[in-house]
Parts: sequence; C-alpha cells; structure tokens
Amino acid sequence: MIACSRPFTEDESRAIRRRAIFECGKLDPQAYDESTLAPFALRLAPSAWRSLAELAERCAAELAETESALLAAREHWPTLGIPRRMHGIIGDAGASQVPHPRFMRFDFHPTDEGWRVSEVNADVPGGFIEAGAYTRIVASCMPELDCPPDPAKALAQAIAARMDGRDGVALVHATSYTDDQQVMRHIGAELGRLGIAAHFAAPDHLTPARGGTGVLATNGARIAAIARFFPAEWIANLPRAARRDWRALGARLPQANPLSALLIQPKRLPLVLPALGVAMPAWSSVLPAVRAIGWRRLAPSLVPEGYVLKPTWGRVGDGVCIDGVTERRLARQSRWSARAFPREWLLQRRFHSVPLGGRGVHACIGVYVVDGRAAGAYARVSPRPLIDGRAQDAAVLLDASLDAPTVARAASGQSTFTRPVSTQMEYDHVGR
Amino acid sequence: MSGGDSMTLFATWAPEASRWSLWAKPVLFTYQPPVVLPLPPAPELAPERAPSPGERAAVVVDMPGVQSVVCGMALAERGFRPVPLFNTTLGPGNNLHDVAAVLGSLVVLADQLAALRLPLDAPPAFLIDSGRLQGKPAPATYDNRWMVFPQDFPSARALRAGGIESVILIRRDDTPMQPDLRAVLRYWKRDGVASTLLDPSTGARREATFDASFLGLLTDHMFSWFSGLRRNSAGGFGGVVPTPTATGGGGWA
Repeated sequence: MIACSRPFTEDESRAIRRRAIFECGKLDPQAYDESTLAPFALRLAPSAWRSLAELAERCAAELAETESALLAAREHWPTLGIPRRMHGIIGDAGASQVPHPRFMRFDFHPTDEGWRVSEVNADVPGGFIEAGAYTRIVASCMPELDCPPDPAKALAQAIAARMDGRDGVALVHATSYTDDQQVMRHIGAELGRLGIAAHFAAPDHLTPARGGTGVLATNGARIAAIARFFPAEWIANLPRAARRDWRALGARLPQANPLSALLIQPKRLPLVLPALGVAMPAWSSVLPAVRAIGWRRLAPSLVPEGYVLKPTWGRVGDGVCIDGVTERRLARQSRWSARAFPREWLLQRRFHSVPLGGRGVHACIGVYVVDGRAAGAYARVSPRPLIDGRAQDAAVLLDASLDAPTVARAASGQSTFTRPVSTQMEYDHVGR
Repeated sequence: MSGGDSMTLFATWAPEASRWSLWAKPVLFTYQPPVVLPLPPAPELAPERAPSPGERAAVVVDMPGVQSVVCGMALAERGFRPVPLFNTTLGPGNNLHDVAAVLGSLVVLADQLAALRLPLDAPPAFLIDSGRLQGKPAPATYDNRWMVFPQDFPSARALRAGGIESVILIRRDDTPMQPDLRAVLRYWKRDGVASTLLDPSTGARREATFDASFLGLLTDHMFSWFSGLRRNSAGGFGGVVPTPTATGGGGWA
C-alpha cells in the first residue's frame, strides 16, 4: 500500500528546504518555477517495502548473472549500443579480480497491473541525498513514520569494506555541475564519517600509480578506490591517454560501479536475452516488453498503440515519448531522432501508472540495492504519468498503519489480490 | 564558518519570505568564507539612467564576479532585491575559477544588505558572473566553470505574477553575450517578456535582439558542443546523469 502523507505546513516546508540545503547539501532545491522537493512525503506499508526490497534484490541478482554472461559474449555488445571505444576497457574491467562495490536503483511505478519497473540505473544512480538525509529530515516532522535504510551509508560502507590502508577515494564526476557534485559531496561525507578521505575529481584527473593505487593530478592524493558519478559511456569520449588510464585503473582499484555495469544499463538489454540464454524471471515479470524499432522507422506511425518510445541511454525520462502525455514538440523531436537513429531508441510496452489518491499524483519509487541488499528508497512524483526532469523528489516513509487494513481484509477473506505477491500493490486514498 | 553562519548569510541574501529567494543558488554559501579583499566600486550610473523599481522590470546583472555583487548591492539601495545565482563549485585544488572573492563580497556586504530592510515584494536583481564560462582547463585543473539555464530563473509567467513585465540586462557592451544567457532571454521573449540591455559604462540602453534564425540557434548549440558543456537536468533522480547525445561532458573539456 502506498499513499501520500498530509501536506507539510508552510513552516515545515521552509524548514525542510533550509535543512535540506545546509544539512544534506541539497543544492538544487528549485527548477523553473517549482520546488524540486514535493510538499508531502509518500507513505509505504512496511509489507510493501519488504516486497519491493525482495523484488529489487532478486532483479539485482539476475542482472549480475546477466552481466557476467554478457562479459563473455561480446557479439551482443553492438546490439546493446556499447560504444566501440569502451569494449576493451569493459573487457579488462570484467576480467579483473578486484572486488568492486556494486549499487543500482530500480524505478518502480504503481500501475494497474501491480508494480512495474521503467528502468534500472545500474551505472550511476543519483538520489542519495533524498533517500537518506533528506528522508530523515522529513521523518522528523512525522515521528509516527519510519525511515527505510540510507543507501549513501550502505554505499560508503561497501566502499570502505574494499579498502586497505589509508589512501583515499576519488569522487569522479562532471565537475562543472553543482547537481553532480552534490551527490559526490554526500557520498564523500559518509566516507568521512568512516574515517576515509574523499577527493573530488574529474575523470581525467586519475592516473595509475605504483603499488596498485591511483594518484590524483589536482592535489597528488593517493587513491585506493573510486566512486564514480560519471556515466560509463562518457568515458568513451575521454582522450586516448585518459581511456588508457581507466583501463589500467579498472584492473587494480575497486570502483563503485565498475565500468562493466554499462552492459546492463541499456534499455535494449531485453533484446539480447533470448540469444544470451539467460533467464530473468523476476526482472521480466516487472519490466514491460521491449521491441527494437528496426524497419518500423519507415512506417507512417512510428510508435504502435500501447507502446512508449524511449532512448536506449535515456535517463530521468529524457526523450521518452508517451502518446497524449509528452509535449508535442518534444514528441516530434524524439520520433525524428528515432527514425534517424533507430538503434539508439526502442519501443517499450506502455504501463498505466495509477495516480495516488487524494493528490492524484503519479509516483515512481526508486529502490536501491547495494552489494545485493536493498538499501533504501525515495520517490519522484509528478502530476502527469511521466516522471521526468520536472518531477519532484519525495521522501518515502514506512507507515505500519497501512498494513493494518490489509491484515483485517485478509482475515475476513476480502483480499482481491490475484497476482504474485512480489508485484502486488494496493493504493490508499487517505492522506495522513 | 559554521553551518549556522552559512545559513544566516544565505538567509540575508535570500530571505525565505521574498518570492524571488526561491531561485537563489545556495552552493557558494556552503563554502568557508575567505579573507576578504577590498571591493571594487559600484558602477556609477546617473540616477535617471539606472533601473528603478517603478519600471516593473527585473534586472539581470551579468558582470565579472565581485562587480556583479557590488552592482547588486547598488541596486538594492535603489530598491531591488539582489538574488545571487552563482552556481559554481570548488574542487580539491587547482580550481579554474577562484570564487573566493565572490563569496567574500557576499560576506562583506551582508550587514549592509540586511540594514536596508528591503520590502519582500521588491523586484529582483539576479546576479551572475559574466566570467562563468571563461578559461580553458589545463591538465590537472578542476573545471568549475558554470552555465545558466532557463530553469535557473523564474519563467515569464512567474515574473508577470510578481508584477514584472520586462527585464533589464546590465552588462558591458564590449564583450559578447554568452549563449547560455542568450538562451534565457530568448526563452523569456518567446513568452512575452522583452529584455533591454544596459551598459553600465555608458548608461546606454538598447533593446535586446536575438538571432532567431536556424543559423543562430545552430551557432549557440555548437558553442555548447565544443565547450564540452551539456544540458543541465532539473532533478536528482538520476537526473544528474546526462544524455550522451549532448556529448562532451562538463568538467573535462
């Protein structure tokens, strides 16, 4: 069960915003005319959280197996759209015996068919501030609700567990962007709490050093692990020397995530599964069916009814074309691009997001998995059934009272659930 | 500076009750303030040429770092609400841009600003650094250049809702306007809010015109391409990750 909380009071909203900036380092609280922070939280029944967590863990395990299979099956990489320049780097990273910390986030949507996943961000998911420190601030206004785990703490611990000695961690990101740096700041602060020095770095600041470590060009710090918030496919755009360095670093330093994560990031992944011979029952049960565009690029109607057009590497809803939802101008751009570059796009069966009662908002709950264990969640909410750059961040809090009616209904034999437990859900229309 | 001091400084420059404070960028306020150097004088404009709150216009000050802050303070004395939009970061060392002076000027002028007790509905003066995109990162430098985007400002609709009907852009005419700011002005103009350019060195005003042709738009796009900068994202839900079609990548040109 999932529902919106009561709206924050004006004083609460201001205090939450202020504390989010100065206590959590949330540095992008406004975009266009809207706050990036929703004026309410989402309440999730603990049983629903357990179901989502279990489902996400199963999906993560399947994806890990798939990644291993793909490392040995390079013939599928072109279908996935892996940049050619990345082939050698990924191959070396996959062949290394370095124990890499792994983290990913599954984006679950409440739909009329149960939970559905729009994508996994297996390479560089963000949202750590919102899922941890921000959630705790919101929870302080609603003491009757509980917080899910904090994924930033889990990730910092996972990195720390792979480190040996006193060298630091490089926080690799696109340095010109405050909203990128804020994520790295937050992870760095969590590492700092564990006594580990963390250093901001651009991807071309890192070079291999003697003793199996790396060194940072900016301040000379020795580096024993990498936390990367820079998309792996962008490594392909680095100068040759920097790519060579990443190839060497991948074989010696623990990286969260390793560059081989790129293999399971593309939305075209389901297209290669039949030939790969890997079964992904949990993943396939929640991910809508996917089709390549192929010769359909020449059809009068590019997107068949019941499908959504998506970019292979798109994130945050960028480029997603949903009939009747996406702005016409943007939809036209997406369709044009898909006809011109069909291998960079795909068709995914549309699911119907169910708006949450009371506020009528659509929600997407991102569930983090760190080293195979569910590690937290946060939500994005939107007035329309498309979660994109204009959606707002919302804390996800656990509300035990939402489980009570279910128990009562089950006892009286009134449950109407017919789908497997892992994809069931129920919507509460009562704000609290 | 403690977190509390940072919060107080930010609250001085972006009081929560002012409608325009929502757009103020907090990042600079989260850093330690540096030793403060003497501030440059504010541009001297004849009163009849300087923007006036009665014009129902928002001001965008696009001047070099500290000068932008000083100019914002001068505008505050005329009744405008300065809104700092400096969205730059700091790295572990070798920063391409030294932002210490800008932060220092915000610290030095905070008391003066607070003493003005500006009305909450004072028209906004958005402060940006005209040097935000200058420089080319050498190896081992931390690239902290930054850009402005339409989502960093109120929309034309929000401006009108706040009683603003036009925009005055204060910048020197002898340097070309950066494409990122041009995109913001174009966005406003498309939605019915026109801009006027005001050169503080001469006091001359002229209407802002844009090359709306395909070639003009292409030129701006190519600028972004070659400078290795990509479209910002508005959210944090993985939104920090760009689409590869935007190419390049901020931070490492």
